[in-house]
Amino acid sequence: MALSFLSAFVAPARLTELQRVPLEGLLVPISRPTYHIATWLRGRLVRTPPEDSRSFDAIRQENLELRQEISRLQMEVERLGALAAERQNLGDLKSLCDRFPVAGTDSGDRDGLILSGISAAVKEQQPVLYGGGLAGTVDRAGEGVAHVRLVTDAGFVVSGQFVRFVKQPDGTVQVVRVSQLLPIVQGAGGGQMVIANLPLQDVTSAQLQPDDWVVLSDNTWPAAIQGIRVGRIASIKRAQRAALFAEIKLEPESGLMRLGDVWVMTRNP
Amino acid sequence: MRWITYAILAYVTLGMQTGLSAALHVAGAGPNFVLMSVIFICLNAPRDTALLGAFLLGALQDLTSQGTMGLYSFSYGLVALMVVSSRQTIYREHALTHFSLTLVAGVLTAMVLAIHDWIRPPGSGVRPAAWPLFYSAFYSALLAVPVLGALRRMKPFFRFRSQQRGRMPRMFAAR
Repeated sequence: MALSFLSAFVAPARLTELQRVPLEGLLVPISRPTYHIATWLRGRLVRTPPEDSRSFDAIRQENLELRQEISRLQMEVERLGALAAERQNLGDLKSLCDRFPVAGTDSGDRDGLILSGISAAVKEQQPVLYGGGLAGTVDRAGEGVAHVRLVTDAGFVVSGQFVRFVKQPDGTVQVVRVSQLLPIVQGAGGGQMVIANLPLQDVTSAQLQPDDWVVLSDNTWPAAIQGIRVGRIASIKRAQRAALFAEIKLEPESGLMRLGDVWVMTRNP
Repeated sequence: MRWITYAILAYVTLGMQTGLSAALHVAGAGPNFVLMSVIFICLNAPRDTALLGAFLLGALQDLTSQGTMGLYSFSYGLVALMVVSSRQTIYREHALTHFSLTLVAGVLTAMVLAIHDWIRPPGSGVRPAAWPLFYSAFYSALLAVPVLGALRRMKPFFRFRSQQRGRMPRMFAAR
């Protein structure tokens, strides 16, 4: 116990993190089926529409609201068109990536995924992608299994830029860089990311809004994935610990801890 | 204790933890199946065996996690000390015991993890919220009732007490 205390609280991390054995591979026969069954079950339970037992008036009122919603959705369709174009870009990236199934998640309280059936081409620090953008990096790999550190994991750092989809006069939708601010995105744990390096005044003057995107703009990452989405703005508020700074919370497109499979960028162009 | 059975329990528990925990997340908190196994071992095994078993389960969770090495083994060591020292005064088979012990153990583990995140944050200026850890303790305590209830039925496979204990030695037995 004394050793574990020293390892956890006293010894520098570089001493305890050396060559950790990827034991997760041994757990795959249990974790993989349970992960997929549980994720499938959760998906089914969430998607199942409840039986409609409302009155006609309630349904009529809902129809009225839906008509108003249609006009809003027309705008949304255009935005999704742009998203589809981005996914096509990811499709082009497929030639550089290998697809691997997710066999489980981190057994502790961190945001991580376990990939099974990986090839020898998978190495540490390779980018991991999913349909919604950047998922994280390979944290450790070996023995047919890899551990992915997700972008939402506490302490994960990446820099990016803000973009927004703007409808042009000719009817097309274009991605526009919102400001020249350089946000540093940090994982905050619990499926969220946070930007805390920008002064509140700059953020206010840049007119950032919820649903704006942050895309990757980091020279330490491969050029082929620059511009890929990191997350979308969920909220902007004054930071509690530093009143002059803004706290911008980001969310990925979907729950990263429930992905069925991911793409590991094993090749560089 | 039969260590083969213990190894199977550890294997299945860790597999469930990696496979099920994220899918069972509610409000950002998931259950900790390994902690439930620690409680089960500590409630039933002899003192030294229980301490060693809990520590090994923690070490295995550390090895399959991304967190700092030694964090769970230290936490479960503390949990084992607490449970082993208090088990003479509690009714081990009762569901309320399972719930309350897992809750206290979960809070203890959450406190160790939160203090660690506070002392050594994973990133500069980033301190993950501590409340999911405490939610997780409550969630685990709720699930501990059926899980420990099921494990209780498997106690004979573990042979926590020697089969000879309490029997008269053969040389004194009446013929």
